[in-house]
Amino acid sequence: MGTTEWAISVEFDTESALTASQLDALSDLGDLENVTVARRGGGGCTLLDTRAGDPLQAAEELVQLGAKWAAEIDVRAYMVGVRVMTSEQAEADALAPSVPALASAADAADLLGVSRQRVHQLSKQHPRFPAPIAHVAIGPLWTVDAIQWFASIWERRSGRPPKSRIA
Amino acid sequence: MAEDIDKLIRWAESQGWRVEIDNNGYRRFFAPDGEYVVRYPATPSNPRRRLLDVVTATRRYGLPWPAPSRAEQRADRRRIAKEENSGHD
Repeated sequence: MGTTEWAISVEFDTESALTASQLDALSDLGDLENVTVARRGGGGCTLLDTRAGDPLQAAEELVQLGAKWAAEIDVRAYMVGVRVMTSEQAEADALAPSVPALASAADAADLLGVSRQRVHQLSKQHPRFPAPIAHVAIGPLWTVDAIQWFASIWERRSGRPPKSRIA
Repeated sequence: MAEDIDKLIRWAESQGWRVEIDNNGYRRFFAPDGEYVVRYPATPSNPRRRLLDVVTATRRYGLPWPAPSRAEQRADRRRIAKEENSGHD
């Protein structure tokens, strides 16, 4: 088994938002160590690195590097978070969708093997049909996962409903 | 890998981000709010890792990352099936 590589990110808050030139100065220092430096939403910055060996020691080293670099450019920085995961997990997280796959009525019809009209009918009448996640000009949108879940639990009955069910 | 960073740039720009290439060849990513967020070096020593770092940084700053389209999913399935078949030869 090869040596595990660890993806480490350390988040720093700063007293005031970093200027573009401060971020560039930190990035220049980061480049010397192959560390990526990025602005955090809400202020401060994140240091991203991948290292082999003891993950906690590697995280500690990155925290110290960040504090040292901030001091070098006269920025007061406070560590507010550390994330450590295997590089494989970090890659999977980085590339995982943050927006779910969506389906219009036409897409849902395609996934369920019915007409669009039937999708609208099911959405109004079937108690377990998923609620739409959004409504746009073309109509409701569902997540593909929800439609696939419905397909898995839907007991289809062909033909007309029995007379007793017709009002 | 250059293709991958170009693909990321095209996606980011389609979502209102701005990407500038400076005199040193850095690709500098600016969020829709105008903030400079991260840069990608001209000649990174580990391009794959740097690309993933930029993806992580831009996503954490709010760049949405969609599920692959159904056409892309079909293409992926075809590619995987082809690789599996060629592995059996």
